[in-house]
Amino acid sequence: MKSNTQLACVLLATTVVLTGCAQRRDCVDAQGNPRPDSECRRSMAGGFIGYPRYIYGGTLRNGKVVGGSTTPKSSNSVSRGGFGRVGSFGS
Amino acid sequence: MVYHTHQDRPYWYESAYYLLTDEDVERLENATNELHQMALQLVDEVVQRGDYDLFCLTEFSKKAVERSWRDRHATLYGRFDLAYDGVGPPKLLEYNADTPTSLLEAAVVQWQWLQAVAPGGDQFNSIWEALVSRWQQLKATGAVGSVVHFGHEESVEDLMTVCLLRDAAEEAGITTIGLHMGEIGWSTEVFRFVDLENQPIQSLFKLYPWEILAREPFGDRALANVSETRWLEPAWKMLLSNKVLLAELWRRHPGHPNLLPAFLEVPGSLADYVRKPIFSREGANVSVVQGGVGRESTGGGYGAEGFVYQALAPIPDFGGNRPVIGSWVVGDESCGIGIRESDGWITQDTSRFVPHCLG
Repeated sequence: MKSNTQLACVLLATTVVLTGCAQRRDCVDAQGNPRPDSECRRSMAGGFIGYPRYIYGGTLRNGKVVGGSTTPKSSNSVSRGGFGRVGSFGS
Repeated sequence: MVYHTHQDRPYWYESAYYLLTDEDVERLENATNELHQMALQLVDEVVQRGDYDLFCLTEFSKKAVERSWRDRHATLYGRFDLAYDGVGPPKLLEYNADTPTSLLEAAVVQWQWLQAVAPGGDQFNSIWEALVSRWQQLKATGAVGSVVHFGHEESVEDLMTVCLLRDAAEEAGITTIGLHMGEIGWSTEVFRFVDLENQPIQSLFKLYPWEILAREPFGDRALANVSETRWLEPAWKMLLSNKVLLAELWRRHPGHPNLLPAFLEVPGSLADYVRKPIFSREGANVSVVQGGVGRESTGGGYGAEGFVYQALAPIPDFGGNRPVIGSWVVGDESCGIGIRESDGWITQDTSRFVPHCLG
């Protein structure tokens, strides 16, 4: 029973993360092809030169994720996008 | 190394190398350690006196600097840029205290080069070992948690730096999670910054300047939460990643052999000087004046906060190649160098990286 409970929790968490109540999230390569979620988790949020990375709120069309944003939409309790601008910030 | 060529010119340049003596290394190491201690002493004095006026900080920033310093928030790394001709003492050009890059080439690539061309040779370079050791220390002392988030933007150079720092942290037994700065969330349920899984961010390394972050929509929250989320580099680095540092160090230590005269106003006594914006990166908006005449300048979007005027450094000229030493501090110790060459006076992000060895 314990393992079933754990499994249920994992599945629930995955569902919430992947589809969420609010927004879809896809891990994609530079051409918009879906990649396993593990690649985005393992990579440095965007990986080298930007990909693979997550796209939020996109739509799957002809096997590619189109539209969407690189920044997740804010929810009722979590707002995002308060940091970040395009550029190089090393010195 | 992804970034090796810039507009058909090499960034990684191994057709030449610099040969340093043990005496050179000792000079560079001693100068770096001394400059680091002088910088820390300056932060302490500014915080003790509450004397932030020169540093162009917001009220929130001042409080964050104060809190992070009084709570002894840890630093990971920094890079002093030095002019050194192999004869006189190294001179501080500037201190990249908040978001230093060119780390991968200094720590790893030039070491690989040495192994390839002169196996058994030596180099002033224990940067990687120092980083792993520092992460271990930060973890052991609770300065960071067992999970550290790494925030960055998409510049290739920034990504390479973050990648190396993540590798070093992982080597030290820390779990790392990367995310873009725009992905960082603020939770009104827990009043904390959260990651993409809505988990609170306890420790955040950011390759993102404090002076920019502080002025963004989440800036005030970041500055008010410097202890709830542990930031690397810490907020007190705002005093050191600011070119006012150069003038303030000179005011405190006039004539110090590792410093160049530097002032906040146009120095009447200096005919040869460099004008640098208080906040600037990668050599942007820098002007070189010789004999009262402008010799070289770079463009960019910096300078609104004002400028610092620093005596023109005696950067050696080796057949048109002008090297600047990037001397790394990890934790509180000097641990290695990288050398960048320019054709002109101003070192920029395109200035080529040239390896070195000891002989």
